[in-house]
Amino acid sequence: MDIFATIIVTADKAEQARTLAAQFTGGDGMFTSELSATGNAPATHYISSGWIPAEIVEALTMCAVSELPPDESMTDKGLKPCVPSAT
Amino acid sequence: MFMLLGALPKDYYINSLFVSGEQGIWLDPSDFSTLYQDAAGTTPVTAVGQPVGLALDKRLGLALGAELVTNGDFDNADGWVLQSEASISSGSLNFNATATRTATATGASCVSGRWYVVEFDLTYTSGTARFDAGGGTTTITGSTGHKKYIRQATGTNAFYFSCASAGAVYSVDNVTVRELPGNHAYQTTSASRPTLQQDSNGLYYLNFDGTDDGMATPSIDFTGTDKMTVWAGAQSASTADTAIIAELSSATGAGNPGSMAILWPRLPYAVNFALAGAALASRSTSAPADTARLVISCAFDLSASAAVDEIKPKVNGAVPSLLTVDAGPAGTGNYGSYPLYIGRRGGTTRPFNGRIYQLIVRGAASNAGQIAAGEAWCNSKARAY
Repeated sequence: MDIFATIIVTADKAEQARTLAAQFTGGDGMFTSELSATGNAPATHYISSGWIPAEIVEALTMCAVSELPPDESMTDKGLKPCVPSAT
Repeated sequence: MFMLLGALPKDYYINSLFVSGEQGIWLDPSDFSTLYQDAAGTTPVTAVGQPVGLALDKRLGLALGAELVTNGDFDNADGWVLQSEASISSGSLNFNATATRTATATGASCVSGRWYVVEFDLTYTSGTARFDAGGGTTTITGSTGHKKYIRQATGTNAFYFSCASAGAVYSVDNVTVRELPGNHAYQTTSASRPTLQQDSNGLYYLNFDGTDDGMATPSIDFTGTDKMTVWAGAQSASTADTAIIAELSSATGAGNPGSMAILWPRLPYAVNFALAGAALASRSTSAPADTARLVISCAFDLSASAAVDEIKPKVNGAVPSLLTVDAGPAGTGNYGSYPLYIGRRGGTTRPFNGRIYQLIVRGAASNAGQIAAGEAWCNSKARAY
């Protein structure tokens, strides 16, 4: 069963979270969106948000999980999307 | 002609834009028959709010190719090569396997890069049942009933059923494997799928969350043309950061010759049109505060010599009053063979926060009537003007 979740992980645990999520169907490719307090690189956190299999959400114990939409979750944590320098 | 008659454009008119074999894609979120919740095409989209993991390209009319499987109803043993513990009896193919076994449909060659619709009736008992339609094993959902999958071949081989190393017990009947031509867009990561939504006018759109949502097609071979026409019905919900509606290649620029993109916003402007041959050309429309629903079209021409001729955009059926030239010209050459990324640059950055009602990309020049018809179609689905 898929549930809506916004999941934020700190940069130091992002690779662990990616590896863990990738073990489940639909979990490969998570946590590619970079976040930081200023919106500038380097990323201090990574985010994934959407309809996600419940077993993935439950397995990601190193992450902060919310039912809020991504913009509200980011605001709660004082984070902004990192903007690439080139357009 | 339909414009003169005053009728709404029909599906067949958009299909007619591709009747001469033009490359491209046509995504129509208002047509539920083209949408699946998962990238494997096993779960149809049936309601607003559901994720969209596979959006089929309608430009070729979704017509299926010829049946590839001989004797899919197992009247006899013709057309199948069976390993031990697999048998054909009582009108079905039966696995009673204690180890990895296969049953191969010898004439059903699946070719790398092409998409196939695989359907069969499964009687499931135990174990992990699988099939392979051109590379990449697909695990079959372990329940009795009719099964349907849409998958892209990653290699070339004959279609076969199999089971995991621990074996499996199952039977299949009424097997059909047919090609589904098109450049279908998909997203394998659950969290990154856009959702189907409906606006206050009752019109359907794909909603991208501006965080991690996006889709992509396999590489589309546009190398036979230096002209392209793009139509979209869309609406941006944010003016915060530059974002991708659709982009051919991982990033439009000289590093990816023969690439193009439509961005909204592209700060400090609203809609931006980018084209690259040996260099980048770029034109932008009005200020980013413009977040109204729009029908966008653009004629891209790499054979032209000036940016204003290489990139000819229209917004809501007219040339925008404020249209800058940010860079250019783009240089010459043909388009490349790249994935079309939708809603996100290269599938990783510049996430689009907004709605896509329609998206049509045609690898050819379009005349004024064709451009107007595409705009009219998109407007019938987005009601922008």
